[in-house]
Amino acid sequence: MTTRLSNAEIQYIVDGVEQDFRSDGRGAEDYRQIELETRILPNTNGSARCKLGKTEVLVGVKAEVVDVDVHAPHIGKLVITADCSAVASPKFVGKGSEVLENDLSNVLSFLYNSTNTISLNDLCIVKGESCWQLHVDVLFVQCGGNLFDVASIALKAALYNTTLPIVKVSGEGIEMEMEVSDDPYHVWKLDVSNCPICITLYQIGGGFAVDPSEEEVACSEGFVHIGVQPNGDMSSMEKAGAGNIDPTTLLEMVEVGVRVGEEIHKQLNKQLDAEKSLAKL
Amino acid sequence: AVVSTQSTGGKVMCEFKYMPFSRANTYSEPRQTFEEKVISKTIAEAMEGVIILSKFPKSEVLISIQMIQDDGGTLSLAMTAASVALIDAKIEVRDLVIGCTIRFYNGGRILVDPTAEEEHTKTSEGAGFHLAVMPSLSQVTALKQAGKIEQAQARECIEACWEGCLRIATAVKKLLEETLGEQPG
Repeated sequence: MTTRLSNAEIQYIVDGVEQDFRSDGRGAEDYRQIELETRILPNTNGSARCKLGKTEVLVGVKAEVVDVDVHAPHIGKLVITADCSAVASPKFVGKGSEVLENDLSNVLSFLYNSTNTISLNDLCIVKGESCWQLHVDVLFVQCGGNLFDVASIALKAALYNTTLPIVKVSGEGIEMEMEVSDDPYHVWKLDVSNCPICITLYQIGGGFAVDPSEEEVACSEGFVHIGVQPNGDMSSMEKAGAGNIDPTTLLEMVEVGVRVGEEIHKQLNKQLDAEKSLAKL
Repeated sequence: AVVSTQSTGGKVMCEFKYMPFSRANTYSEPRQTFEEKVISKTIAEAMEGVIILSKFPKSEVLISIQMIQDDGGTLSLAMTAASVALIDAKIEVRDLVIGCTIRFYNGGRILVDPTAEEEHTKTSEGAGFHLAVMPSLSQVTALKQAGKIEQAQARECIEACWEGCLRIATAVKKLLEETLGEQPG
């Protein structure tokens, strides 16, 4: 994934971003077209596929009933893991992708670190005993820049259509019995109205941009991930990448990030709701 | 900002580790956990922007950090310590890196430099904010916010952290002058 650029190309890209007119004609705040498909993996509780530019990601959500955590007996668990398929790049064969995968898993998990993003209380089945554990697996089939944002959008879409079987609990103590319904229509859905998406802003030269191409990433110095919720709150924020950021630029990035995030949420929710009305469930 | 292809510059590696009994109610195992790897990476990236790597071609700068006691604000403290260690090692840096942690509570109250107990309040009640800056060059090298804040509050948090960093910077510079006998930065 190392892009080789001449000094002239670097200057062209940096100048473009600073003047809000990038090499493909977009402004600094414009995303490329996002393609989203949901419920594509029949063996999962929820799934989605998202494509943006050359990046393609597949997200599958699987739920299992587990024992609660001793330190948090009233909530369920959410485990997000990222995997870079060797199909995406020959560099990802074997342990080559370990650093990137850790990075991705960390940033995506960090998005959901706040208790007001997704209600883990809903995932509790019997307080102090059992709860649902959601395993979210993010698989990168193609890597073309802007991995975090695409994954977070696919993640939200997958959680949106995740269905969990209704569990009937009878009796108490030793005689307690849990019956997990195997009727495919006897299900409930998670409340994803507060789920965040990640907007990553890359500092390029004296300006910054969202959704960069691979060439633009190669010219960037430092980037900021912002977890934006539909109502404009920020669930998380992290600066990463080698390179320092000016504090005024940082505050501008926050403002733009939240604005762009809210817009994407609006469009995403519109499409997901439209899809729901098509389904017979 | 100058863009350059760093194919011949040096590399920065960082290894951060909590000592086994450094944290209350948690035993830190000898192997580096996922959380520690994340912190290591954050510190390495922050230092990459500060060390003049072009002066160390084909070399590696290894920063090894052992957290002996955790009473809050570990990430910021680790950054400050790493920065001072680099100066002590006479590795050429652009500026100091000073870190500061604050705890932001819903309702607007800000606690600078929280203790471990204050840091571990529930995320529903507020957010933790870590910032690392280069005081003379006025640049942000690292930033981390855990817990929800509103967009308007981001500015307050950054300003509170920045102020904290500048106060610590004055003390650190004084110390360096006394011990090294020359003006740093």
